[in-house]
Amino acid sequence: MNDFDDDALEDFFAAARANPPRVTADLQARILADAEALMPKSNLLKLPWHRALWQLFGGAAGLSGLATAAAVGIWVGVAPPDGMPDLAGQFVSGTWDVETVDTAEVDTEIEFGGFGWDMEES
Amino acid sequence: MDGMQNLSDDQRDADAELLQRYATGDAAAARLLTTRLVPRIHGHALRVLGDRAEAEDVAQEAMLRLWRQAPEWRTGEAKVTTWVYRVVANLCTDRLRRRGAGAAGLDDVAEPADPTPGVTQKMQQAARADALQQALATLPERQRQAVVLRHIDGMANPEIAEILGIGVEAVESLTARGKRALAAQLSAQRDALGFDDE
Repeated sequence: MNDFDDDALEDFFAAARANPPRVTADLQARILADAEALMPKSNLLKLPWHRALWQLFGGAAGLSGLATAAAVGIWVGVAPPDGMPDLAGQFVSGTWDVETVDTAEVDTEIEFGGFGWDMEES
Repeated sequence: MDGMQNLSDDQRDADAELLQRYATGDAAAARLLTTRLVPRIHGHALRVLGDRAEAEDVAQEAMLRLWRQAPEWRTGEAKVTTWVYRVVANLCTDRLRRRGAGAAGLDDVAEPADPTPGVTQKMQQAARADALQQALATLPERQRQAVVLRHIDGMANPEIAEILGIGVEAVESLTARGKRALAAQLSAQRDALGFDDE
């Protein structure tokens, strides 16, 4: 026989409800990976046109990557880094020089540099 | 399924709408559904199984079955939550039976309380949540599931009946017996927890 009534028990239940267990980011990622793997993808035709386009581009993540790549491409064309031919500049000025190289004269020693490595002769 | 309540026209199941959008290739719908369902089913599985790893497996498996079910889902039949909870309950029962009687896990369920001074109430709450979890672990599996569904997940008896595949009276019996057993356990621990009459 105990004097533990419903109200007292309810305090415990309330404490449990107030302390929900945490869902780890890892679990969430696994569940979303499953969703991605199982999602029917062949239904673009059923979507309204704006949703279909959104899906095609891969949503916000896809579009931001595309926009970044396009912006970089434009920048490289306008202001090419050293070592890259300024094709756009040549095109605009009309001096479209095509260099022919006599392969016998080409220095076959290749420098490994500029890739973020410094390979030093030891 | 037998006993599943049909939804009336004005009872739109937001989860079902999300599920159907997912089935047409809407990945954002899956993220939303995950946010809505997983904390609840993971929390339920953790309280019933007392083991984090197993609870995560159950949650992942239940959602996997939901994703698979999505193309077949028809509105107006079961609620998505009822369906998913039913899968979770069955998965939990399987695991508990495989474990054998008396092998209750006791992983920490609640987040640890902040020990800074002045948060006595928070500590008391965390201690109560822990004590409840320990007491739950001593209940037979069906009583445990029924009590968690009713008093922590906040489900009504008819829905619990659908989830557990039993009648409403059986649910009431399970919760009554479960609460009596919990009360006995917690009463014995009360002095150790330092509760005064509040």
